[in-house]
Amino acid sequence: MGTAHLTVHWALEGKQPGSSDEYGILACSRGPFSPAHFMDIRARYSTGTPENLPQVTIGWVGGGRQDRWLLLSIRQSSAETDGTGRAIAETRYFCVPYEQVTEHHLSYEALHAALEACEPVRDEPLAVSVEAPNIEDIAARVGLEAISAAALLLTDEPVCVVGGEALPWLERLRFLDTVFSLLPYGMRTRLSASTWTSSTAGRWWTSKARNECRLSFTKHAPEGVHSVRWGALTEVSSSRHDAHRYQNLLVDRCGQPTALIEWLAAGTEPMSFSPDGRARALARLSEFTARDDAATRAISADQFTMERLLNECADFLKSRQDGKLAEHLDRLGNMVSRQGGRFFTGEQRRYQEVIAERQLLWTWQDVDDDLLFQLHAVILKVGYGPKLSARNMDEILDGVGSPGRSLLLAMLRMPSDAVVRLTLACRLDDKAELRRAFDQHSAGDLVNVAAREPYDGRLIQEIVDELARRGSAEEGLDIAGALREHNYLSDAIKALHPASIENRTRVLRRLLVAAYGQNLEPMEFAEIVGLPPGGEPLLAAAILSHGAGAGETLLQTVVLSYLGNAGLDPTTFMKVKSALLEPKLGGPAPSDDPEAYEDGSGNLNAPEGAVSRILRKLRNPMSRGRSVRVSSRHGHLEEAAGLRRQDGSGGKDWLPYVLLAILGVAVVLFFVLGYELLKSL
Amino acid sequence: MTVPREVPLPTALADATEKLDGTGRVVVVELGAGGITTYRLDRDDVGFLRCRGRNVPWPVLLGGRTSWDSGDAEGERAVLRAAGDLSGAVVFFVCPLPDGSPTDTAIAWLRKARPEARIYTADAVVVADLIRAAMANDPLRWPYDLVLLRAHPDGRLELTAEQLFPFGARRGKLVRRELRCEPSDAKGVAFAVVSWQDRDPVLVSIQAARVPAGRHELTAELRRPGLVRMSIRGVPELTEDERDWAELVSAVPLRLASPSGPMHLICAVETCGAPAKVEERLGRIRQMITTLSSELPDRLDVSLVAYGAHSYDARDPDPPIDVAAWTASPVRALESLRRLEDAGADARGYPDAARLEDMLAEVDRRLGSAATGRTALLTVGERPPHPPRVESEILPCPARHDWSQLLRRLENRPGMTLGAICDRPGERAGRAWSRLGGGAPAHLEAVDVRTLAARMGLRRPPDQLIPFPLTVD
Amino acid sequence: MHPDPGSARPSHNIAMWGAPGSGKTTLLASLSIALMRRRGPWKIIGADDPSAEFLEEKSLTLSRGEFPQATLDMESYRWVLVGEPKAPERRRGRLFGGPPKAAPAPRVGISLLDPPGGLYGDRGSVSATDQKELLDNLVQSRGIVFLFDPIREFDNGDAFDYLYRALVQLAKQILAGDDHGDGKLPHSLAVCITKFDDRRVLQTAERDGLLTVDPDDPHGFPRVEPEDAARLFHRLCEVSRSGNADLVVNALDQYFREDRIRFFVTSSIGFYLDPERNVFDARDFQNMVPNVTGNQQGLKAGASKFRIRGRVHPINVMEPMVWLGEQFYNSQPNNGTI
Ligand SMILES: Nc1nc2c(ncn2[C@@H]2O[C@H](COP(=O)(O)OP(=O)(O)OP(=O)(O)O)[C@@H](O)[C@H]2O)c(=O)[nH]1
Ligand SMILES: [Mg+2]
Repeated sequence: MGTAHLTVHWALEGKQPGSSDEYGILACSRGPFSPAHFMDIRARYSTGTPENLPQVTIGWVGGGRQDRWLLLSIRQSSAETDGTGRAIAETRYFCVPYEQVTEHHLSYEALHAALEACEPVRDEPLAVSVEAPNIEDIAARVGLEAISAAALLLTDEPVCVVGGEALPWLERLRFLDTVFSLLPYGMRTRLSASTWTSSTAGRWWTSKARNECRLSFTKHAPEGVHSVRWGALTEVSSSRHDAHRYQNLLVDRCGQPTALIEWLAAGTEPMSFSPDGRARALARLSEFTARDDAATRAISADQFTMERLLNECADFLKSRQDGKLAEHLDRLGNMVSRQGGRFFTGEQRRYQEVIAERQLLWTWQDVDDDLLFQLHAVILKVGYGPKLSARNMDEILDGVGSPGRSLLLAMLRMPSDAVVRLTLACRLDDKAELRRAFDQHSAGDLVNVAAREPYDGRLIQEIVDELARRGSAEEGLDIAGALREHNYLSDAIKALHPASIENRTRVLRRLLVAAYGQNLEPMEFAEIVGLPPGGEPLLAAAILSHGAGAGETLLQTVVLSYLGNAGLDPTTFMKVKSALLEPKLGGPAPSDDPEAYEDGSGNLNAPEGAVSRILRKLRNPMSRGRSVRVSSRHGHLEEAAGLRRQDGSGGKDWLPYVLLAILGVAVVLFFVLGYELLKSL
Repeated sequence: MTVPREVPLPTALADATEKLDGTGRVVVVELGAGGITTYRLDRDDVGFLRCRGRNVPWPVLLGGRTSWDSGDAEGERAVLRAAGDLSGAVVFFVCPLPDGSPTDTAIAWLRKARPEARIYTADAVVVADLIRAAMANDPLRWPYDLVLLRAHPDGRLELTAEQLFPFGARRGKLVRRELRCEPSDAKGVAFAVVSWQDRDPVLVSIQAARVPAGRHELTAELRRPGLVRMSIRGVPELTEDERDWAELVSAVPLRLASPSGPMHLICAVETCGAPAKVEERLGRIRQMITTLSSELPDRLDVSLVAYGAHSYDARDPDPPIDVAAWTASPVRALESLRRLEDAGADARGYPDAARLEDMLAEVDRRLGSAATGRTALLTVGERPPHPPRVESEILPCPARHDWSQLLRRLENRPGMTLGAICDRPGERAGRAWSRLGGGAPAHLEAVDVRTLAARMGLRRPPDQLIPFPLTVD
Repeated sequence: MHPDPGSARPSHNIAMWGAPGSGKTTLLASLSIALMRRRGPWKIIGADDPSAEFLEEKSLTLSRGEFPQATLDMESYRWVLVGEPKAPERRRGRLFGGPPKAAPAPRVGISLLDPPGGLYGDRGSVSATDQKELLDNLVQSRGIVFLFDPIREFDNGDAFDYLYRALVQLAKQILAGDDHGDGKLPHSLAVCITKFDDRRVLQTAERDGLLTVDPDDPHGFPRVEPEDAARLFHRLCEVSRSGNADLVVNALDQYFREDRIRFFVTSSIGFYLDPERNVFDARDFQNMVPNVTGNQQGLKAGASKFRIRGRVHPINVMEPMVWLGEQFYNSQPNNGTI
């Protein structure tokens, strides 16, 4: 807090008592303002014939760098009457140099209190001392109306407050102060407001200096004027982007009003209500939250310009103003390029919201294809550029319902990774595009893409086809490695054919053919089918307990019955069985069509290997969803207890024990894992 | 017209002047040693004789010569010019005996011009003296009256005039007259003589002397028209009084302070206007009541009437006139006054006039038509009353009361005295207030309640000063 | 946002013209009361909330006995004059076509401008911006209500000053380029002699024998026959304080077509009626009285020196508006069918 010392120029308007003349300037201080100036000021800030006095009107004068003034006028009734006996209203106009009020962020109430009391002497300018206001007092008054009004001012159109007739004039003045305190201080160089304006005083509501904004209490909202109802939050229409945005930000941020107001008050460099000024105001307001964080500090006004442009694009789309839309898109494009495609942290988040909300990426009917493509391309660049990530792609695709070709193409043209490109190319349903996309990627990429969750059935299908194609083109090795990485895409393929083991088996077979050729080498087989580590002693103990022929048993009872329960088609099962049990005949498999399951092409090297591979397969359910594990925890414990009992009874049939033991290992592993997971929650 | 020669000049002259009316003239042309002297006598508007004289010396007439021929036309013209216009006048020529000097020629020429004029050879007489005597002897054309005050039985004083010299009285007429004097101020009692021109009095003279109170005999002598000499035995000579008439009249109290018997004092007060004024008005009334109640124990009834402004507002109709007390004891009246003091001023209502006419109507109604004893109405206020109909910017009285008529009725009531204290000084108080004040209202800021009470005849002042003599009846 | 019963019709502009204090605002304020007091074929309704409220609010203010404030700035109101529906018209070809349809009520939208009177004058202290705006408005309008205030004319004698300057400017703008016209302004001009209720005005009319009483008027108000209104106007100009009030008459003749001028003798507040007797009383008819607080003790800040004593009985207040409305209505291209 402190005291500001001001040099104030003034004028007195009224009539000589008993005169039959019009109101006029009766006296004024010598200096930059002549009576004629004051007449013009009077004309500009005339608020009609007042119903209640006193009345305070504020405004601004001048505009040059050296010539910025705040205007405050006080209209009071006097005890004098004019020639026809009507009370004479007396108005004092005060012009205060802007740079003298900025240091202490003087409020209008403080100015009023100081100016109200001073008695002009002849034609001397006044020397006035004004106490800096207590921000907390102002902050305490921040309410719904003030937020609404402050935001609505950002429409650059007049705003009236209705329903406040009963408030004493000082309350109304304080309200104006509160509203203004929610705007950067510098906007006062372009703000006008009054504690009361006649609803029929056309000029207050219509005539308007450039980039100036007007706020006043009145009885009825005149046509074309925004109105705020006293005591209520007036939602700013989302079509008024800056204002809407400002309101949201204010609502968000008014949790610490004192700090907020201080922050805004410090923004004293002059600001107008032009789109540019508005963007700066928005920037100032949003910097408030970010102000302690140096990294995100630099919220630029461009950000808000960009946001407004986005919003306006949506408006133009709606109103089919294609020309303007194209123009805006150019501007957006240029802005992005000017930024070098770089964005601040979090910046795009906001654009994305606008884009989603305003459905900017939807396929708008009747919009010319080229324009639509330009729209999507630019919007993508703004919201998701420079590189389209898979997550963003998913989000976009989820958001737009059925993505149109234009959007997909536009996305496809963006720098991105394989997943994105392939997904999009596939969605596009365009052979050439798909081809091109496939050609850009290695088999490994393709497998990676296929393994990506959520699974995209169509894409998996395409990739499998492509892999099958590539396999025949001698790319098998890469494919095998990639498949191994992704567990032979078992899950993906399961997603592709959730109901049919049979089909899954067929697809897998095709993949294996693509990766390894028609016949698996034993090593390859072992690679594919392996046991998980950790269960070895138990397995060894079980085999020892079984004694000779354990391999036979293992194959017969463990593997075959495992596969038998899987629900394979009987013919397939028969083929599996014969491939499993019949000795290797040597030579290539009779058909290289993986769809046709030839007999006796399996080559099982060692029973352990087979078991271990089967067991390895068993691990997969464990890596499924967490909830499964949690819910089955007790059941597994019971099974483990049962195992010990049976173990103690020294049963003769070892195979079930082996299996049970394997299961037990799995359960223990599972339990440990699950427990860890639970702990980590 | 021939006049017998034997009528001597003085008689003839007196006769001629006496007959002189408003339009005629008497011209006396004297041819003497000093030249030709012409005296023209006529009467002014008031009937006074007046005389204008002119002298042309011989050398001027003769123009350097020593004599004229009788045929000297130029000389004749000069002589006639010196005699002036003689047409329509009664003409006297006065000349010395013929002696051959130019006088003879001159008189001949004059006689030729006015053959019917009488010629007197009057060596012995001085014409000027003759004329002076004629003027002094001229009888009064209008009677002369002495201004006196007549005290009515109720003490009310009325200016009257009693005849001193009748029509036709002449110089030397002596009149004696009984009169009474009351104590007077340092300038004394004024003896004013007025004459009457039709209905209007014209002041002839005012003389004053410090006359001891009591009966006196005044001797008045008509020294000539316009000059009356008065004397009172035992009193030094009367001298010219410098006081002007208005001053004297306003010094006359309304009543001779010799009240006896019961007295009804009605105080009417205007309670609208500036609070300080209203307070002051009520203060004066309080003073008046307290003063009188101690001086007239058990003989004073007091009424208290308060009136304000008309509202001219249907939603706020005028209340009846507030008769706070009516023929109450001074103590009760003072209690009621306290209530008025507490209520204070009423700022509301029509600003440019007050319900004076309503107050008069109410007082008149309450006094009724039956005779009442001695009654005094003291009105204290400022604003004029409302007229009975649209006639000025002041709105008419909604009840159509006519203040002038009502006031006349009150004035004409036997035993009624009016007095007033007005916020504005006399000349700005207006017509109604002059009448309410029985001539001139007292000024609120300057009024001395005792003097006013005395003027109204409400109290015997220790030193009531009466500037005029009183009748003795 | 607002119900706009007038938006269908084009709006005609009317400007109030008269010196400060001539009674422009009071006249408008009394419209609503005039409407209620006297049944005529036309009604005035607000075309938007503020304008409707003005009619309502100001008539309440007047009924409370208060005069409007001095106008500080141009105010504009949008109203609609709604007439009585025309009687159903029988048209050819409709003989067998069912009952004839009643024509809808005629409507005339008006935009009324009430400026501070000083803008018409040339006393130094008015802002040029304001005057320019007023002139633009006058150029736009087709109707003018010119208020001639006899009281001001008695006291100041400056009616001509407040007529001539603006009139010449207006003529310059409209007539300069228009060489095929008749050299007259296109406006219809309702000349209102205001404050008929004032003693001095009534007495002038009385002295000249211009007063009549309508035998059907239950209140027996004196009035001036419409034919005599112009005479009273001339008469008041003659008795004016300044020598040049007669120029007012000349200027009006010179600039306006005779058939487009009409004179009205008006009073916004009318004569005082004793509520009990309820008839005009020549002994006591003044309806404007000094205010309660009085002028000797000093007025309360903001209080006016005068107030209205009794009920308001506007005289010839609707008539100028209706006359202008009819002028507009008759010039509307298709008024026969609306
Ligand atoms: N007697 C009488 N006085 C009136 C009437 N109308 C108005 N007045 C008086 O004239 C004063 C001025 O009236 P306004 O209507 O305010 O005048 P205006 O023409 O609007 O004046 P500006 O706003 O200053 O241009 C009022 O305050 C009344 O005192 C009327 O009908 N009769
Ligand atoms: Mg006005």
